Amino acid sequence: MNSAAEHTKPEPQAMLLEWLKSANQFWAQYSPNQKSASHPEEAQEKESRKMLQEALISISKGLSVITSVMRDPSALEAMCRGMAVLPDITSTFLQTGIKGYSSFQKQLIEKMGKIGTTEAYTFDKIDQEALRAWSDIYEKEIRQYFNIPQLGLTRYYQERINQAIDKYNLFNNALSEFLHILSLPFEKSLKAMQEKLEELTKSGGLPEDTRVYYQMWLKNLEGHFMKLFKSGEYNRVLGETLAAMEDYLEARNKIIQDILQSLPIPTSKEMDDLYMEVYRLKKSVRTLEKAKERE
Amino acid sequence: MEKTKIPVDLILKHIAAETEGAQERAQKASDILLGKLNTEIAATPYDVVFETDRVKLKHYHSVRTSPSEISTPLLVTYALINRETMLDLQPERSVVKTFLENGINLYMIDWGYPTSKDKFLTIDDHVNGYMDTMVDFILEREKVKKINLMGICIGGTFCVMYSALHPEKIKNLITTVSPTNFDTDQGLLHIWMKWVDVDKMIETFGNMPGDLMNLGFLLLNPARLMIDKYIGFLENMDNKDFVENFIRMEKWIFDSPDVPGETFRQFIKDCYHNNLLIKNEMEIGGHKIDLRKITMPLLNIYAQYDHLVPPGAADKITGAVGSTDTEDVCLDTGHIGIYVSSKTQKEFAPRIVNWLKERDAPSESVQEFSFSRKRPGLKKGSQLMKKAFRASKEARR
Repeated sequence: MNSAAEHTKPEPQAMLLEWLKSANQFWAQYSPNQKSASHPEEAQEKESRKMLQEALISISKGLSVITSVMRDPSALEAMCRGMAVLPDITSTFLQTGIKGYSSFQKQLIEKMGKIGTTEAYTFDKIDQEALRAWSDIYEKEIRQYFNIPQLGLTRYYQERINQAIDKYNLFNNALSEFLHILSLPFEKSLKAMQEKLEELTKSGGLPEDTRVYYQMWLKNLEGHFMKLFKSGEYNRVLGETLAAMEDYLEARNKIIQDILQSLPIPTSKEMDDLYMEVYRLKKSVRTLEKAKERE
Repeated sequence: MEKTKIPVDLILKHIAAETEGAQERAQKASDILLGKLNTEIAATPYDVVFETDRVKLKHYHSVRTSPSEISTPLLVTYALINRETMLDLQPERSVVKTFLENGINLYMIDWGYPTSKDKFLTIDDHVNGYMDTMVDFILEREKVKKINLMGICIGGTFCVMYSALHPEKIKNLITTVSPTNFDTDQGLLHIWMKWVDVDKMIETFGNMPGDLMNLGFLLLNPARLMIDKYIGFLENMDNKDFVENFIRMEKWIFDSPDVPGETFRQFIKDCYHNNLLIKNEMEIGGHKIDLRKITMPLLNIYAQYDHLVPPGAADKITGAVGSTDTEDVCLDTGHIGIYVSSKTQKEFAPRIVNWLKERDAPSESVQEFSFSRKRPGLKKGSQLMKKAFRASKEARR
């Protein structure tokens, strides 16, 4: 039964050939040797119709050429091969995107589930998986596109632009992580305050003055910040953020250098060379002056 | 089950009273903020008597009519971070004013604002270049053989380096909140600096940006410096004096020149990373800094609650120098409070004045010297007295 169905099912190549034939016939009727579509009574619209007709003729010519070329068996075969792999490519693209998105979503949901469960005064194992998920997607799926070797006359300029975009994205990732880590003492101090207030409520010792609450929270917040700042995790993130910022600024400066080189003004590198020369000269003069004074 | 007691009525009463008070404050504050405010800083008159590159030498106008007990001029060297205007923030809290009223002939280095062309300047250029040129200028102008030298923060570290390399030009040395020992985990800066890739930083920025450093200082205590400070301002903005002083302080804090790149690089590597200065292993301009060559009297003042230069970073110098007349003074305040808080106005500057008077008076006796309380095994004995006397004579020569 299956083999019969397969037998009756038209081949995609044959179907495409049929479609190309009819398309060729359709567009061919608009070619100049065909009868004009305009009616003799519509004189006032003649000019505008003529323009439209000319445009259509131009398009039909192009399409007619394309369809006639495509009817060539070898071209047709190539096109069919391309169409056959198209679903695979689309599916790979979709799978990559969905995989990345679902992993990011999963980590985000896990993170949201953990809100309110953080422990006060501990910063050793900070959960930043949700933030890292995006960094991972960027590192694995996107970053490689900025490292594609560039070709042609402008390859170096394009490479520097790509690098600057890449470094900017990496800096933003690092900055997000840094800002997240800085927000943790607020979260933890609020939790500690909740516990403290619960205790005070039970013991009946709740202060009447709202300033006391503020001072209590501030002291708590300060303590959490101090604990955070001494943690290895904070120092690691701080170091990485600074490094990412420096990488980005360096990449950005290279582009500025390219732009400046095309303008009739000195670049910072040229100025640096000059500053260095002036610095050395001044130092020599100062040393000579002092030596002369001693004499 | 135990019944909870929440004084809701009293809490609400307080909130209502505070809201009412806040409204009144806001009304008054708008009058103050829209009115004329005197927020001028560094108002004490001075002349710029010497200038080279971006660096200026200020000489303050004398305010005393009677002869002074301190004849030796004092050169104050500020840090490269922030500005020397901090010593003269407002008339009632001015170290400069106290010095002048006590007859000190006062000079001060204004390091100016480094630009890209200054990025190659090293510590050697600052200490053996600018500082030495200024000292020579003062010696010649005042017709004296030695001057008194006082340093603020890293300016004090520079003074220590200078005094070790040019002891013949310095009569008395005063260091205030000056880091000299960097092998400590007491302050966050000391922890953070170990993680900083200073080479990369200087390659990127050229000079170390003042704003970036300021951000780092704010992050040392964000709860106090970024929240509580401004809550305090909101609570007191109906007080004109408070507002004026607050703005003066804001003006000073955020007036942050960049630090020349090579100087910053060397300071972080040689001091924060390798702690070479206190070990007598640091070199500048090809000269090794030997702290034992500091034989002049040394007064070392630091602050108990200093979050930038903690006591552990400042209190080792008296034990490392060659001088026998040293004194450590730890004040009950913070890094900036030592100069500007109303409490320390009666302690800090007057203490320096008295210490200098004891060493500058023509008829000074050896009994007037105070000795280091920190140095192990240091006792007041006759032999030591003789040694101190010899050292002081040598210093005066």
